[in-house]
Amino acid sequence: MNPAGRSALQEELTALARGDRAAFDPLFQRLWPLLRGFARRSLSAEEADDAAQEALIRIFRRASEFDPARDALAWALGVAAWQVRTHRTRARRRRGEVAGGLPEREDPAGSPEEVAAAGELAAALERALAELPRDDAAILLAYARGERPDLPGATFRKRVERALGRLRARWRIRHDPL
Amino acid sequence: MTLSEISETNLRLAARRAYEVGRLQGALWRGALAALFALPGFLMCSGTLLAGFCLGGFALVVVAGRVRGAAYEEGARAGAVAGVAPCLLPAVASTLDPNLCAALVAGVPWPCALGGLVAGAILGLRGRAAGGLPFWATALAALGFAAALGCIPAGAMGFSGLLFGVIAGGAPALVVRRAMG
Repeated sequence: MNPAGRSALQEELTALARGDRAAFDPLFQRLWPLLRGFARRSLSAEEADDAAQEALIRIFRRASEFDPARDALAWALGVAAWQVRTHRTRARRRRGEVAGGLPEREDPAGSPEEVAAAGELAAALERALAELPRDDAAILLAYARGERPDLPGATFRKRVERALGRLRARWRIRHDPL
Repeated sequence: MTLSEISETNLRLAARRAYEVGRLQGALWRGALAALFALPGFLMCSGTLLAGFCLGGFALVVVAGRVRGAAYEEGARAGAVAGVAPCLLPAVASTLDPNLCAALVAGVPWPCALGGLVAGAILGLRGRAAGGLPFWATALAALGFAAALGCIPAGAMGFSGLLFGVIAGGAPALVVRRAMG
């Protein structure tokens, strides 16, 4: 970020901390590409977008507590770095789970509300799966059933992660997780 | 509108929501802290329904000022700081002289006048940084509620003393401020 942009970021975050809502839009426009670019240096594109979104929400939630004496860029990137680290840890755990097989399932019997909610969720998931490329859907269904196609373990894991990323992106567009 | 634009709009809304929620949370903490500070003024001499209303009003002004931000927040902060003296002076004095609360009702309400003097000076000086109606409205509301907690036992005489003190303390500070440009 150039010195002018850095100075503008400082001014906008300081103004927002004071409660000046007019600074919200320019700050959003400045922060979002910055955080996304920062996260993409360390994570895959889908993971980076998730991490950047969470960092952005966290920054705006804490914007009122921002101390104008601090450097706004360093503060924002500090929050983003924490989020990136969290995502990397989560991704490592997921990879471990994929390598270790499916987790044990709980007793499926539940209350009528739970059954209805599960039915709606399953239908929504089915619609999202139908929108995915056929290979992605097949690999996810195989993973969900605990089947292992005739592929090397690392390749299978990568394909599952890629397909999950695409599924997550479509789910986000349709169901607004924010 | 493209899909990326839709998701960016959703993100913008979520960010705005997060900002407002964060601001409200911070405001509630400050309001609770302000009420805690003013509590001795409420407990020592007042303790009436009207005093409870003033305590709640004081906390509410602090919360609303913080949520709204800018000049409103500066005004609420200045009013709260200025209100410390008239709110707590009677409480502090009554710990030294337990009969003071009763004396306040009967005699000259000097704690209210003295507290008002300090409050007026503080408000006059802090008003230098920010002016305008939002600042003065929230500052006077916060000061009024906080100071009322200390002056309720003295009744109308107490409020007259408080008003006299605020004017006597604030007017010179404002004159000096104007003279300095």
